[in-house]
Amino acid sequence: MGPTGQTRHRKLTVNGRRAVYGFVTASVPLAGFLFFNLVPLLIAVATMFVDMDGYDFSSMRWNDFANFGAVYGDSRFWHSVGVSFILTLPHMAGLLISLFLSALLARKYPGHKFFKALFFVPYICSSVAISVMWQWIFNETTGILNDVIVRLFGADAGPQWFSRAGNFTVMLLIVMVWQAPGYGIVMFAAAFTNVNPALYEAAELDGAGTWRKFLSVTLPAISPTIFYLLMAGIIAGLQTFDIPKIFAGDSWTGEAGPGDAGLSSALYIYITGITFSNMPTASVMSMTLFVIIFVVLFVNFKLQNKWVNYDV
Amino acid sequence: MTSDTVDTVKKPRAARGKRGGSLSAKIAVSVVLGLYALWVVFPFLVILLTSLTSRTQLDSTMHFVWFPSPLSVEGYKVVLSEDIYSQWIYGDSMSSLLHGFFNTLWQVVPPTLVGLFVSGLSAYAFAKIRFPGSNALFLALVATMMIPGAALTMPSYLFYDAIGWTHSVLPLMIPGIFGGAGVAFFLRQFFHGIPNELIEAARLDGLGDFSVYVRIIIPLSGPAFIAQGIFMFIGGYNNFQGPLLYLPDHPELSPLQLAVHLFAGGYGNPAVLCAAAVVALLPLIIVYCFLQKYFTQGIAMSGLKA
Repeated sequence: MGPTGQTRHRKLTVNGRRAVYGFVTASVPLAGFLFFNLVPLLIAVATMFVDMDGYDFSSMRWNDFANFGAVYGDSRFWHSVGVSFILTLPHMAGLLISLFLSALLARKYPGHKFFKALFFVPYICSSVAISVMWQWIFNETTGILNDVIVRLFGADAGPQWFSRAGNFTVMLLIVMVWQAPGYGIVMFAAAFTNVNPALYEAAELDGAGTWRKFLSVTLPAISPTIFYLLMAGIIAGLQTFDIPKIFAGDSWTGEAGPGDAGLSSALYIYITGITFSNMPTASVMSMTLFVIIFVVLFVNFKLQNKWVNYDV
Repeated sequence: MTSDTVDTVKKPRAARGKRGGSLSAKIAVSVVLGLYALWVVFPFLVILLTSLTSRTQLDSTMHFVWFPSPLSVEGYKVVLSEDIYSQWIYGDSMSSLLHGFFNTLWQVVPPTLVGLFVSGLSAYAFAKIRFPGSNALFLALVATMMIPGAALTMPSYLFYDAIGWTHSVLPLMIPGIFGGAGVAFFLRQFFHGIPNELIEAARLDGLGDFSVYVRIIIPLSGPAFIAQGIFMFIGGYNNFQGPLLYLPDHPELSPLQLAVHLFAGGYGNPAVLCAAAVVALLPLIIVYCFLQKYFTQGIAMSGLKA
């Protein structure tokens, strides 16, 4: 019994209305993105080519690409890019640490659930609280670290963490390494349980030892997770803002830590755009950071064929 | 799953094949995990210790105080009572930190709930409704997740300044209520697992798609919503850069993290500072203790499966 013309017509409009409803509700997050991110992005692209007084659009004047010369001729900017790359290192270290700890946790010895839950805690701590904790630990005169160093080595005073550029960098790295592994541990825990047990049995029949099984079975099987964490770590590292900002404090000159050791690109963009209200320059920096992140991710994406295994 | 199927670390040859490994391997692993646990806990212990140290002991000791005696809660008293803005017109004699905590709640919870609901609405359409352009729209949504936020900070600031939203909570609250690409993406995956027959049956009973979403999908997806909601809430609760950009001169609107940051800038007493950090950390850690499985589930489910 086929549908009559009447019901078919009705059905079409119902499906049509349903499609409209689907389209509208599905688009809401995208609409939010377009309005709150894409529009600003386009405005920012426009400001790259002009001079501006503060944030006043009516004062925009074409300036023959002077902003690009100002940014790319600024050694501080390239220094900030270098700092941002240095700040991806804790995420790489975090990746290795979480891989190592997850391998231990995967043996499911008594207490592994407790350890896993505990190791995740730094991930949910705010950068403000983390900074308070570690600034107090690294305090040059009354901090616990220098107290231990003085007691152990009998020196007069411990390292000057906040006034020497090299020390400052080491301090930032330690703080970030403390926080970095939590996320990876949870990700790896899921990845380890998803490895096909038959592969281990096959490897054992071939006489593979534990270490051999880890290299030949586990690592390839979890390589997508490693790849994902690598990408996420690079993205997060290159965008680091909070911890360098808080550790460097506010300075009238815009110097971020001793010798600008804490000057990440995100922080330099903030200092340029907010502290010195120079939006056109900040826009050029933002777009450059955007491109740098994209290039790094693109290269990683291309390289994944060589080592990431999606077959298992 | 037995322990030897996920056996991934080198262990003595003799122990191979035995379930759980040898005693010495067990001890070695436990010692390593225990040491790492100590490293994780160490900063918390340090601030807990200092937060319980009295001002007099801190002032009379020229180095770190290992043993607070007597234990003092004056740091917590200050943190829970002091209005650090009292010298300005903003002073309302309420503890700045508690004030900040309430500001965080009203600025973060409503956008989280509305954003969750809207993301789910979008995810339901992507998962269960056929409409033209569905795939293209979804690809566009996924593409937005690739854009690095740090490159958008200044453009957004300029935009919000142009529409008069800087120096207000609007940039912190409004964008979130449109839902998020990541959340919609995750919920869509989850909704795919809900059988279509269930939805068809409900629609035959006369329910529209919106009612299906509210009455059937949401009740069936509690854990997924909770997991995503938790991470949205943590992001808002811990947000530092947003309030720093949009509320630097509005202490009366400062959320918790900014309040702690201002405390850190204004207080010489380490006990007060450490107490502030403890108080700021405690709510999330308590929530974590109760909802731990949702935290890990949310990450494990949302991270991969692209």
